[in-house]
Amino acid sequence: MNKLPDHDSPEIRAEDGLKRRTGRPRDAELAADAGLMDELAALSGERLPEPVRKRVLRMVRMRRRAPWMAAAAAVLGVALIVPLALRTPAPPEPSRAETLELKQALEILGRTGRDAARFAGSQLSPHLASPEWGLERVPLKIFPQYPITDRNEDHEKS
Amino acid sequence: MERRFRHLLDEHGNRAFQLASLLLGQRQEAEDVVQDMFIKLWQQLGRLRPGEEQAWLLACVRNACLDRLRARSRRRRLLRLVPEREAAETPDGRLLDRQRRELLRCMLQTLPEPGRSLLILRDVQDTDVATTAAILDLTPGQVKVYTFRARRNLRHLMEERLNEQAA
Repeated sequence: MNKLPDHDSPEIRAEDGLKRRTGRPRDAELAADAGLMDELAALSGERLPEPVRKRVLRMVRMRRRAPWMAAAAAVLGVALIVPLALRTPAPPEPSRAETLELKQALEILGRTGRDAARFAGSQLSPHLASPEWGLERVPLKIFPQYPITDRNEDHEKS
Repeated sequence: MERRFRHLLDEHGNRAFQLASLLLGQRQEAEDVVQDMFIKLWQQLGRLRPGEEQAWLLACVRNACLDRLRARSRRRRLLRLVPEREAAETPDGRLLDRQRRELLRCMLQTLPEPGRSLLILRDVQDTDVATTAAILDLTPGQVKVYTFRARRNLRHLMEERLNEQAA
């Protein structure tokens, strides 16, 4: 049906008259409409069956409990599953042979390192000229293991 | 919330069932629809403002019934509706009340929407214009005009049917 504008019309007035009526309308058509309206009103009275009403209430109660039960199940699940998932396996203990092998490897590394340092020192030291630092003029004792001598005294002595 | 729901079930359960029953013409189906729609009401109750529930519920019931009617075959619907036996008459030629009521129910179901729903809401259930307009998404003026026309249409259909039976 087309959307009509909401304004007063003969049909609206007739409908209002039928709904408001105190007696039978004089117009034959309207009187017949009023009669049918009364017959339709007589169709009322059906009631929702009680078993349906009870079923609805029961289902509503179950749905009310369902979120709490789901939350409880989730908490329980998290409490059980998460620790299991996070538990890392303990590393296996190394065997005696593996420990000896590791110790040997570390000793070789240490020895090799010291040899490399000695060789590097022997190769480089002739090329490194130690500059005059003027340590005798430094007021503070920086290198206490190296005694500060007066070079002028040494020079005079020589 | 449950108290509010119980109140709504008590207040509107009969009306919802009657609407479904008159639209569908089958009691069991009407019970199923009403049950489902009240569960839906429970799920949506937090979102409905007080006072909105009736219109919302009856609109849902109506829509659910219309969906079921569309799913039925048109042929089955028409055959089931028209009473086959001769209507019994009183000595002065009037149909017995019970049979006339049955005929009225059947002819009501042949009406197109929204006329059918309008007559059920306005004439059978005496629902006010504003609520009816909210349920059917019409203006108050449309409610009045379409109700008037649907009633007259139904009356003519009834008269035709009774004339056929009398002939």
